[in-house]
Amino acid sequence: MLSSILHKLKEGVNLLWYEQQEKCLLCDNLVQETICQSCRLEYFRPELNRCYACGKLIGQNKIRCSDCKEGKGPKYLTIATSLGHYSGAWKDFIQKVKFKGQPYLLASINYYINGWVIKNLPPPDAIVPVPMHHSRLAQRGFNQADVLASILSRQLGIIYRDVLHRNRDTIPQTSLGRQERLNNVLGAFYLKKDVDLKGQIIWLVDDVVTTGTTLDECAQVLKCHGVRDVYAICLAAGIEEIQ
Amino acid sequence: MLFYVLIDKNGAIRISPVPDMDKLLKKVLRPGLPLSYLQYYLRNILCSDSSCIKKASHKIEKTIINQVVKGLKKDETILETQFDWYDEEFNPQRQLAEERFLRILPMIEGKKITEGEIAVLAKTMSISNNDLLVTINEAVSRGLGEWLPAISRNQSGWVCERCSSTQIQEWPSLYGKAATCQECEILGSQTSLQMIFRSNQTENNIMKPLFHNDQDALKERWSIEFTNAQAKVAKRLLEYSDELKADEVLLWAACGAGKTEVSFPLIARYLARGKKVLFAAPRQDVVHDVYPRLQSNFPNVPIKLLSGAVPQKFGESILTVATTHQVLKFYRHFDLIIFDEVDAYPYSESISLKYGLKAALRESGQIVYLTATPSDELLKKAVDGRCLIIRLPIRHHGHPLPLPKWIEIPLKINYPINAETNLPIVISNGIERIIKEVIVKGPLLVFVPLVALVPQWITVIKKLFPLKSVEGSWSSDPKRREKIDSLKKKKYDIFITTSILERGITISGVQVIVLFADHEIYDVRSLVQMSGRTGRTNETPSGTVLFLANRETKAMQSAKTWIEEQNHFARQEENENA
Ligand SMILES: [Zn+2]
Ligand SMILES: [Zn+2]
Ligand SMILES: [Zn+2]
Repeated sequence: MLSSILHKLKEGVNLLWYEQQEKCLLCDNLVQETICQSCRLEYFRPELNRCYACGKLIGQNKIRCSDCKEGKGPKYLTIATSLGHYSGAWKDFIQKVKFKGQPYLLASINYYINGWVIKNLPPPDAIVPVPMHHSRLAQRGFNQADVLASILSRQLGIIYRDVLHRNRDTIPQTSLGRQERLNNVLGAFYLKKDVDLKGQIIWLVDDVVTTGTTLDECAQVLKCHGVRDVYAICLAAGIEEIQ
Repeated sequence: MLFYVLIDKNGAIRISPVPDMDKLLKKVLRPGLPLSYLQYYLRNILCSDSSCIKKASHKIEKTIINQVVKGLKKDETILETQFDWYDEEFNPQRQLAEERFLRILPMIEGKKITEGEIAVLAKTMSISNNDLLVTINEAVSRGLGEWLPAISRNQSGWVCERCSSTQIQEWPSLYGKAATCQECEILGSQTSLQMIFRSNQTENNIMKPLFHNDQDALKERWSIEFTNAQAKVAKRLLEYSDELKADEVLLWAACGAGKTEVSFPLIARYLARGKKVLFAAPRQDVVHDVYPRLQSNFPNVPIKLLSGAVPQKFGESILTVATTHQVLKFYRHFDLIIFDEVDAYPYSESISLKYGLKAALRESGQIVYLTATPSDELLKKAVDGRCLIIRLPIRHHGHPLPLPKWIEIPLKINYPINAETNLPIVISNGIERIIKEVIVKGPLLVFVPLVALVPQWITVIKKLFPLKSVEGSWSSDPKRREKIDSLKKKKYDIFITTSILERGITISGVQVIVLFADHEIYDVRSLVQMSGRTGRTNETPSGTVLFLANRETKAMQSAKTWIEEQNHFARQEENENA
């Protein structure tokens, strides 16, 4: 299981991190914290609400984004939340993790993720990553959602369960239009054999949420198998224009 | 990218990313693995040279599986380790087109091509990634290059195949231990799960000659008219590099001697013979400054510019201008490398870049180093005779280098923390008086040792001189390029900056003040370089250089001695020439 190897990694990264901890991870500001305050304000946008249905960043007086209000959003998630806005240096950071072979960077931001999810979600029975298709996993060598789920699991002492399987390789969601994205993931996931999650509360983890279709598809599979509630956690989401 | 072990009909073992393209294919081991794992686990079965093949014995199929599984388990893989041999057939639909092969070959010759660059190159050539892969694999099987893991693994650890760094960040992957090189990340990150194609040195590197009359290299018309001293040095460069085939030549020139142009006849001679030339420098500013000068001096030569600031283009070219990091993309490619400002950061500090420069040069190639302030390492090489040395002490206008003068002033580095209150009156009065005297002679360049001091001192000096136009810039300043352009056009009276402007820039009539000249960051070389910004043009061949500091450091004294020696040597040369 990935989390067992991650244990070793995390210690290594922490050592390395404390030694170098003088620059903000996102902007090179000289600070004593991993991510400086101005970056946290700029990318994490703590003053904004999150659409509870899809995790998108929305205005302070809202609870749902307009897409979700019109019924276009996910239907199987109890609450979705995202740590930050998918833009600028935060987007670069996530891309570094995914495409530039630097998954170890995730371990250095666990403090912010932990704080965020504890504040926004009720405790679960298990943490489940959104799976990656095996051919893509073979190429990349890791699944960033898996790495993130493993870190959360270890940090918060919650059971990690890699129970979902991805049937086929979908096209990256971010490169598609809305309707294409909706069709793209239909029927892509199923539950692995002999898994029992009846009555459980699950945290479902992914790196970036766009329309929420991927998360919803996973949540649907989980709920069909008797899961009580599915909460979704992402590193980043889009933002709804605030008037 | 995944590689596969295959056994062909002759019983030979090979590794390929496209096994179904092998006409002799018999058996393939599936699933595939990244190259670094296969090479490491099977190191006793495969030879280091991928074209070298060992014959498969009866038991070999089992041995290979055992070794791979054992290796993966030891690395704590989370992969299900079920490997098997499959009888497979050559796939005729993926037949290689010879025409395409010949079209792509020049693009990959002399290069290292990373997995990330495959997609870029495929797009440039308007073919699919897979077709490109098949073509490059054909080049490998014809012995024109090799597949290497981007980061190789051996018993003692990891080595980056692009930059040779062994400072590698390790992390756990699906397969087990994986690694990412952070040293050459600036060129795009590389992990041990990826591969790199490295071209072998080609037998015949010659391109179509560009000029016919190569004897006339010295008589060409260059954008500046050579002084006697320059002409003499240019001739000597031709003798040493081209005729004597010296591996390394150091051209040690005074700041403002016109050393760049002096290398043009040598460049012209190599180009005339169809040989490939690289002009490299550690800093983007220098590269972007030299590029247009090369264009105007070699109007008929297509010149390729490679730097982090411009999008990457593939394609062959006879003359390349590049920052030193870009050199890591080449392998045994250039016949001549002119290396400007060789002692500048980051090259001076980087083992990887030094490796990269040597790797980019053909085995029989020549390197010429240009600098006003050679490093101890380079000087020692020259003394030991491992590098021929040519000196050009005379500035092109014939006037001596301005000597720096130390003015004692009780400056402390924490001045001013707060521009409103903190600067003691003695100091602000002193500085005001000094600047007033200097500024009548021309625009003023003020150097400070730390980035944080730039905005602070802009405020201080603006307050002292409210009617003057005061600006400043530093390395990560987003407006740096445009400010420097404005500076060259003399739009500012006073410009505050860090060491980014210590070399390579010419501003007519400029005067120099170095604040905190006793700061440890300033070594003799940077002090000489900053002083060398003055008096560079014919109209204003002299200037003032002031070191403002609490004390006189050894570096400050040496800078003065260094410049005096250069001036003395220049007078001697002039007398000889007269
Ligand atoms: Zn920051
Ligand atoms: Zn929503
Ligand atoms: Zn490297």
